[in-house]
Amino acid sequence: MDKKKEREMQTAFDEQAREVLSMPDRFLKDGKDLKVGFESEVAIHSDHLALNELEFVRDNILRKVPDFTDVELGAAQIEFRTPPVNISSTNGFCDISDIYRTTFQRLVLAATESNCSILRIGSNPFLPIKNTPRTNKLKYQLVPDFYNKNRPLQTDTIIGLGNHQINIGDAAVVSLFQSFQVNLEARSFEDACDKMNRSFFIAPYLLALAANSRYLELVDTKMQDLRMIGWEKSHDTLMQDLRLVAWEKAFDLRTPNEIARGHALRVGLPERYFIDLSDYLNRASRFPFILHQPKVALNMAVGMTWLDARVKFIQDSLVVELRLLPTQPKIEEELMLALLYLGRLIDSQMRNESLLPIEFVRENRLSAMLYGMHRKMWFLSGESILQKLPYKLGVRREIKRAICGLERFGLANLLDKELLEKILINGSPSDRLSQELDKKEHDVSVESMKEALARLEMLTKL
Amino acid sequence: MFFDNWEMKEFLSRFKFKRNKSGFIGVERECFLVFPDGNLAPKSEEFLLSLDDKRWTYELSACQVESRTKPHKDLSSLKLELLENDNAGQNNAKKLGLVLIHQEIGDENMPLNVYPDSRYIKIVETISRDRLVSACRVAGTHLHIGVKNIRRAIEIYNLLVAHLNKLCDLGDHSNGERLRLYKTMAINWNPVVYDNEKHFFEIAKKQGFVDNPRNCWHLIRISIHGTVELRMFGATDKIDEIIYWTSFVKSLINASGISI
Repeated sequence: MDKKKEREMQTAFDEQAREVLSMPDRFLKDGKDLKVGFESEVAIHSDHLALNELEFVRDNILRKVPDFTDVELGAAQIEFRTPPVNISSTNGFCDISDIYRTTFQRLVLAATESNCSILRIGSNPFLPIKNTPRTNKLKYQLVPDFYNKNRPLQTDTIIGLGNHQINIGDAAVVSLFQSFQVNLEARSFEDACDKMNRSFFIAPYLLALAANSRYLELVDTKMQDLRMIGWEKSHDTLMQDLRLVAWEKAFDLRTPNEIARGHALRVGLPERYFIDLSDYLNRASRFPFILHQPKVALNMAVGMTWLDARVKFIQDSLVVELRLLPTQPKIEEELMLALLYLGRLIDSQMRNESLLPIEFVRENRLSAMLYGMHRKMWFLSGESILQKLPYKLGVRREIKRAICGLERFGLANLLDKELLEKILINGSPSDRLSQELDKKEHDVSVESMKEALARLEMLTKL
Repeated sequence: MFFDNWEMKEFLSRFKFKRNKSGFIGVERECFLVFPDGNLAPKSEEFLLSLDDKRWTYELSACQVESRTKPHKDLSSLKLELLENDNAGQNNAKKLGLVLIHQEIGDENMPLNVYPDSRYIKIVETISRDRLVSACRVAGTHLHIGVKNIRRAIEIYNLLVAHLNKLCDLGDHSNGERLRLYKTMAINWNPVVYDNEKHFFEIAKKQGFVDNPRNCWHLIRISIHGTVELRMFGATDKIDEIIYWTSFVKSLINASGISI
């Protein structure tokens, strides 16, 4: 996009941001409800399909399940979601859980009819990284291409903690990544900003439990959750997220001068906590718009704010979205994580807890991505004292706090504590998958991967 | 001739190359300790005692401390260890009522207290006050690139020597002042292209680091850890900048076709 069009987008964005920010009352809510929605990305998989057939088959499946579903960047990907539901009402959480499960079951059925399975994992281990098939939509072609074209040659896009490393230097690598998102309605501008800030520091604790993207092209990277590193490396425009290790590397376009000046990426964590929504929108507008659609400039910039948490403006609602977590093997695990997140967030707001300093969040976040539960993390004591503790020790205190938060809305009994304990004992989905494949070391075949995924219910077919 | 060969073997045996760490990168980061009023604090002993972390060590100036990472192949894990060191160091400094700052030169009038290490005490006895001031004032970031043997080390070293000016520019945050001070302190700062191992040995003899290669003060040097060490980068508070330098150096090596 040329400079004139970028300027038009900037002007349109500024006008739209000013308009939104001038109407705080439009978004005010009384705070009695706890309105949430879930979104998850999954992928179809079949040995019988060529890469160029994936999109056609995927679209056929979506035609059979049109409600609450959509396409995503990857040609094999499907997004499914729930409508917003007030989970503080009687049966609210059961209702949203039912909708979520039912939609997924419909997808599994439709996929089975097309001789496909549904893959519930954070990074698709079967598809190629380079020139992986994308959904045929203009934005899905233009955005990754922009990052591929503008990434400095020096950017190191090789990742892997083990003997085998892989190159994730194609921004379309993010089409292999799948995440699970929790959306929560805020009651005011201040509340939205506060929830977003608190989400940044809560999310790494959850990611360590939930890590589920370790393999790409059947190679064990030994990273617990490589998505954001891939986003960041492949999409480094000024220096951080599309979705995690791989996101971050693939999206890094910053020049040496920008790095020296401390420029951040549009992916991951911001340089500091946000002061207010004006501060947040100001940051969102600092990155290239890439697409020329002035009428929706604000929504586009927010849509490409690939931070671990962000605030969306949807009609008269301010929606805080937690984006850091990968798709889980089972719906139940996602529901449990959602409750942990909501409970911990409510507790944090109720106690007006100090925010963990952002550089410590940055460490926790990267630690969760690389080593999951197997490394110490920083926690805040009740007296706001920084403590570096073994993860499993510190997280138990976090869980207690989450339960306190859930009690406030009468939701504590819905948290599946047995499942949570199992995960703490048996490990994250990445831990479990690597244990299944352990004996194979680096020579993982398509067959052994399929078998392991099926045993862990991450590859589902009726 | 026999003695020369024997001496050369002895010299080269001081370099501990590790085949399994070839291509791995480690970072040393020097930084200053500062009182809340902004004055430099000669408190490295207290700092290190309180932190009790093997990744942290002392420097010649008692106002400085240094953190080190393990060698890493993946730059994300390198970044994590840099973050871990930084946060642990900052947290410890705060407990002592101090602040850690990553700036590449200290004040002209900074305290000249030296850490009580026998090697440093000997050095200080033999150098002029000007050189001591220079040594105390500069803080850098050193990158170590693991190499598998001396031949590969010389190849990579020579390759990087050809890019010395570019690398100096890349790591400069003080308009060249830090490197000017460094050159005052280290007269033999300029890395020489080595024709082969014998030439490397001859230069070591000539410049007086044959008995202790740590006394080689070239801005690029082959270190006893079996690495090629880059010493031209200034201290920086931006970990992403260190990662960028590392990527840049890796890209130079990759583009040369030399396999690490």
